[in-house]
Amino acid sequence: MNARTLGKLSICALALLLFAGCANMPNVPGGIAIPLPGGASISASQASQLVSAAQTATKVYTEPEEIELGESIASGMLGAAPLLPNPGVQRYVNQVGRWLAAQSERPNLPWRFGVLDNEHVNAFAAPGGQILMTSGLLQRLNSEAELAGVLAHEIAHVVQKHQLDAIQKSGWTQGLQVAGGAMIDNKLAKGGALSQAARASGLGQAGADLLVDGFFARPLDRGLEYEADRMGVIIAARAGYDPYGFISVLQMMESLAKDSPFFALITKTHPSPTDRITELEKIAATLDRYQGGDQGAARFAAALGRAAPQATPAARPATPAQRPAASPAKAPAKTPAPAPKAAPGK
Amino acid sequence: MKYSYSLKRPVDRFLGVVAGPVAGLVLTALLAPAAWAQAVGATNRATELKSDPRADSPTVASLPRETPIVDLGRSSGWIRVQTGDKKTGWVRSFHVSMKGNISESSSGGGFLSGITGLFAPVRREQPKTISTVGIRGLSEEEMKNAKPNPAEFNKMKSYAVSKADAQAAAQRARLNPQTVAYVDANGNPVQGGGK
Repeated sequence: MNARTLGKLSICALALLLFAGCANMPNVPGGIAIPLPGGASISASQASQLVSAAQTATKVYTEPEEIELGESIASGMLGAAPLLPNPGVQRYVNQVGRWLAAQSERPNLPWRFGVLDNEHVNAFAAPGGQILMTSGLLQRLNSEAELAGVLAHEIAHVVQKHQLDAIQKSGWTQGLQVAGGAMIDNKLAKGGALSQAARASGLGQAGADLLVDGFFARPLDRGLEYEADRMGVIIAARAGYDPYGFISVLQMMESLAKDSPFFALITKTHPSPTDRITELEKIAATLDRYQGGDQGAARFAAALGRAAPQATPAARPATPAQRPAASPAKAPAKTPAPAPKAAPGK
Repeated sequence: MKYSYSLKRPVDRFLGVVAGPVAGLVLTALLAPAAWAQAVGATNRATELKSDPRADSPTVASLPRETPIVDLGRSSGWIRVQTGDKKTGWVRSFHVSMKGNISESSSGGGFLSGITGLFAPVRREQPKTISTVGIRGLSEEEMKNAKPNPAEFNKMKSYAVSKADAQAAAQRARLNPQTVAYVDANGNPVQGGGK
């Protein structure tokens, strides 16, 4: 093999690290050093490993792999902030979220919802149906319809595979290749068949690598956020909620986000609340058709251990100003209280 | 009527809040409401102040663009507001943009001065130790340094609710599912939504 061939090979290897699918990678015997720009070199076997790893990183994920990747990302997020130590609230949020997800086009994913014990205001969707939101966001909400708006937005991201596509399309080879891909590649080299455990550990590391690489600190395309907003309000309406709950959430953010340190990350990664509201106003006629939907303010208050809102028929105190004074929190209900009799489901 | 409110003026309501149990007592791992806050904003176009949250209800006043308002509550796509000249009524949610909020200070005195000068400079939300963990953890840098926590993820899995159980809970809550098509950016129905 002459120097020219090696040069082509290294270019091809590098290209493979950056882009998927450089076909017909020549079989390189071990022990040949491949020069890299800048004077460094890697062995041919290392190059082969990286190439394979890069292919792993950029391949199209099967649904089980998508789920494993998402689980590993969720595990990483839980390393940054633990769960709120309140099983009643965790189950309540799962109940609402799972009901919403059942109205989506991916009703049978292993949907799981977690409330992070953290004062930041944010929510995250990991591929495959792992959804996290912060307690800082939850405590700023006033009704189940608002909670549904938040969760439905994240569910829409998962339905459309926005995060998964971002992982596959952008420069994620760098984040994934070294640990996740190489680990899988090693196993393949040694034993042929890839065990479930090996695949899981590779994807598990991949999730951690994504976080190290700042995955949730980077914005998705603005258009994808608007799409998730539009789909989210529809999913909420499908589930029987008033889609205007989500407008309330965006206006809460609009009132607080500019100056609050708790909104720094969500502000960096999302279009401004004002812009999102402007986009949603374009579908106001659709929202209006479902504005008689359920608010669930009483259920929400009960689940969070708040004093019941001062509800008369279908009343809905929406700002904290309209809630009665906070009373010492009672034990949160394990399941949502039934809707008040006077508030028909509409 | 699809709404109600027990106190007619925000000041009354605020006094009710401070007269209640000390809010600090509930700032625990349980989810107390966020520090008391009231959003302030302004109309983003000329619009009408309505007596009820319905387009066909009587008009209380015509509000020019950039009329300052205090957010008193919601009814679906409507916000109950108070204007600087003490008129209250309902405006369409989309016709108001929020500009900030009047937060409750630990003493409460800050709020009273805030409501006296209804549209005084807006208070910034400051970090408070409300949860057991606080603001740490989810900054960009901290997320990058996080180590996976499989034990906590197993706990998250243990809280998962089956589709059947979620449906049962929704039935108890009398949530009625309905078929609604997604819409495009202009509100036209679109097919799909899955890949």
